[in-house]
Amino acid sequence: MDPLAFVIAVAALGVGAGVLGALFGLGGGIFLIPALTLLFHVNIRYAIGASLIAVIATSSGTGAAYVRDRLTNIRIGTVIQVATVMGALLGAYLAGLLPARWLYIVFGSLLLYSALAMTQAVMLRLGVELPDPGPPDGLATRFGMAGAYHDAASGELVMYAARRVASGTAVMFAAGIVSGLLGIGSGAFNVLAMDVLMRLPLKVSTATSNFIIGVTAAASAGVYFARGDIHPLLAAPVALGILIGAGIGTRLMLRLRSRTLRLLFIPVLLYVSVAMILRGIRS
Amino acid sequence: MIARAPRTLEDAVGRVLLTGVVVAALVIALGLVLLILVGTDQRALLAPLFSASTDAPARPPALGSLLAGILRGHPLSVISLGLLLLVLTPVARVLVAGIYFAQHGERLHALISGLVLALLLLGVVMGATT
Repeated sequence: MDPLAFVIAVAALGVGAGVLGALFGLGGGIFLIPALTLLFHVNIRYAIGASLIAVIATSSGTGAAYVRDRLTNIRIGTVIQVATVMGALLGAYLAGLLPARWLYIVFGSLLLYSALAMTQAVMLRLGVELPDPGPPDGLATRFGMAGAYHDAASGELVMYAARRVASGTAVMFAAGIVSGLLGIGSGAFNVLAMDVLMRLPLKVSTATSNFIIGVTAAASAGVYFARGDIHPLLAAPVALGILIGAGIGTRLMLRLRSRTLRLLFIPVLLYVSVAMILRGIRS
Repeated sequence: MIARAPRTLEDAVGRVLLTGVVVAALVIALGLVLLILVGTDQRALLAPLFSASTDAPARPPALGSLLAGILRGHPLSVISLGLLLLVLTPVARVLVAGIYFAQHGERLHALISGLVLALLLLGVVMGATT
């Protein structure tokens, strides 16, 4: 492939990953790693390195908009990022010890799990637009994990407070390990923890997940830079594409219904996860 | 009218993120433009990406030679600088939020922000000793 054509194609891929990452609070790595390895035949170590950069770009690119719109809860993000950052450091340490084949299988299995968990969450809460504002737990009160935002879709002021902070944070720690191990934002786990366990409004979960995946990825970036996994000619077009895509995605999220988006997203996740697992088994 | 509204936590953090992203994107784009202008053998530069080998790739340049490369306007060094700025953006937002919490008496959140910065530093040390 012509080098310039390759760089442009990767940037275009980045735009798509940025839009989807912004909408789902996912960081974009979940789309980039399979696309780079399966379509462009890029070595998975470089694909993971580029994905790490993509996660940081999505987080910061969306963060600027979602923080302004008060969708991101900075205090909640501040508390739970401790768990994801610790997990990420552990995961980055483990990544150097595992062969690429097992990374494929682990990554594919985690995707499959995310897709199934998401299906369940959508089915269980199909009619639920906003969570019932139950009493916050003691930890949430102590750490100031509550807030409010003006919902552009319904025109209402939505008040919320976190519940089950301890179990939510435990899931975040596991999400951090996955992030460090595979260079993905592991936003699916973050969103599920905030949405299902902590019972935060979906838009707050998505925006706050996007907020913390950047610092989580930054924690392991030092290790990946040192290992030489971040190739500038792959990471640069990815980063630029993602920043453009994230700008588009943040505008879209305010308008689109997230439930519809999730339903569309599940078959994509299922397909990609099975493809990754098969690749790991065959290699 | 107040000429300048009092800065909230959201304003401070949002501004850091936006500045970091814009500056990093400009530097990365500059590096890519330089690369096209200089006319290096791009095919050779891209080759390792498609290597089937899963062995550890060649070691990246040390920080000192990266700085020298930037000063000489070497395209790949300029791109790496942009990527580094992008990676530092979330770190900067933790720092700015931490300072805000400290100034506004939110001691618990200031302490947590400090802990996160310490963990990020540990990540850099882990990278340096890899």
